[in-house]
Amino acid sequence: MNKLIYINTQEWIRLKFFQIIIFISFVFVCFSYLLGSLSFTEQQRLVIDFGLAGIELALVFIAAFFSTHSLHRDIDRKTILVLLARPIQRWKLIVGYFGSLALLNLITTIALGLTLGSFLKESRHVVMFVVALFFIYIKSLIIGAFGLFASVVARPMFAFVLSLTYWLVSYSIEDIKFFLKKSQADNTVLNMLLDNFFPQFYKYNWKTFGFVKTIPNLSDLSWASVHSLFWLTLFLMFSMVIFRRKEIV
Amino acid sequence: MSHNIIEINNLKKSFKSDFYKKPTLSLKNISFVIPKGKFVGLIGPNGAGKTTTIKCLLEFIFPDSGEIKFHDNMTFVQFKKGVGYLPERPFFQEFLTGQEFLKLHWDLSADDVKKNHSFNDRAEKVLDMVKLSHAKDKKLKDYSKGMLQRIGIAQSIIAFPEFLILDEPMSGLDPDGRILIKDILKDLKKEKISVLMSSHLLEDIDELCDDLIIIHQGECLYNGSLPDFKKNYSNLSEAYKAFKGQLQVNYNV
Repeated sequence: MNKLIYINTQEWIRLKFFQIIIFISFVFVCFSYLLGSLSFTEQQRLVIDFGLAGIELALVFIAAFFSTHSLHRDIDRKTILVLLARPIQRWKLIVGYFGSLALLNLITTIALGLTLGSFLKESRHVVMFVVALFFIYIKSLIIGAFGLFASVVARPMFAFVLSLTYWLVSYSIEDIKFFLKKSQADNTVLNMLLDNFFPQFYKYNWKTFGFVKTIPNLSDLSWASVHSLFWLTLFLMFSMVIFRRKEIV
Repeated sequence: MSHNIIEINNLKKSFKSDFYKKPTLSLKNISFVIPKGKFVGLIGPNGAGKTTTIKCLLEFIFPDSGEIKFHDNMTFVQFKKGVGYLPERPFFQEFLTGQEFLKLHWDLSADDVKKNHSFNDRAEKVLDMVKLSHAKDKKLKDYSKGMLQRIGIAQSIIAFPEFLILDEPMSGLDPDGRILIKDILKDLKKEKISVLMSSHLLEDIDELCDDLIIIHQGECLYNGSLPDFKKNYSNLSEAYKAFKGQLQVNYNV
């Protein structure tokens, strides 16, 4: 399994697409410093808000693209056939893809996080800055797991769009509920769907300066960790179960 | 069963090209056996169901009905520990070198093989066998088609398989490449590995195989000894032509 993770990671790091995403994200994060220097009073707020948003966008984009394309890439090129003929169980391939996504995003988080972290002026913000980065990383993994699940049942581009939509909806649940309430129609089913079929990302949207300068609240952190772990495990399990019987034609 | 490495009974498989379309039956009723230690040729026209049969055998796809029995009542996972496979038109991770590619497949092999043997010795031996020792540090993207086919064979035999499945191992190769692959397969034959080789090239089947399976329109029309099949003819091509002629008379196919 480690070998599969290593090979997939190696393959994706070599892709021009991945390198371009990293470059653009790096420019985006550096741009936050320039933007911050335009303000006299809210320099840190601009740097952190803009920079963390840039990191989340990059991670989610990599997660959605990688997770929805890696399996199909191997199926289309037929490289998966020689792997499936080996005495390994199919679910291990899914873990291999997910593991390499986790590794790629971890490398990206560390690289971009260090860049943005070097713009921090007060060392007391470091802990919560790392916590914010950690949850951005975890959310990207949830989107990656969802993308992997979607790519087992759908074509890669459709799965990619679906993953990005899923991410957007997970952040917009409160807004959607507000509009549903205003529409005055019967929204029981839609509300139930929003509550039960989407991770509640909006509840731990911590990529803000406001969060970074607070004192950590352990119960919030624990809830967010358990909630994230649940969705991550759920999508990985679904992907593994469906991939077990997927026909590689 | 003990003298057969695989026994396939009444395998049926249909495909749906779209969810609203009627499924088409690709394998209608495939039954055959592959005896231990034999080199078995699988022939048939394009679309006959050769690759589909192989895919069912390796569980890339799942048959609608029928059964596949492995020797000593092994489970599929146990059986896969002793299988080597070369796909049709192989495409491998091109950023790896020949040696790294073999290492990947060695690492994914059964634990007892890895425990009892050294990778370096085995890699040296198989690279020598497929005449690629000189190119082991070259990236696969720089390999020619013939070299890719040979490294594909090397990965299929790296973990001491008992049973080898080769899907069109000589398709698209130039005459020199074909001769080289044939020589490798002759060496494998000496090692008494059971082999199932699908091919369109009757000459190669004639030269290499002990047994023959003929598939036509998803049905197995012959499964038996190759010398018996061609006993009244000078070679396999002649015998196959006569067999097809007889088919046309009997079934109007």
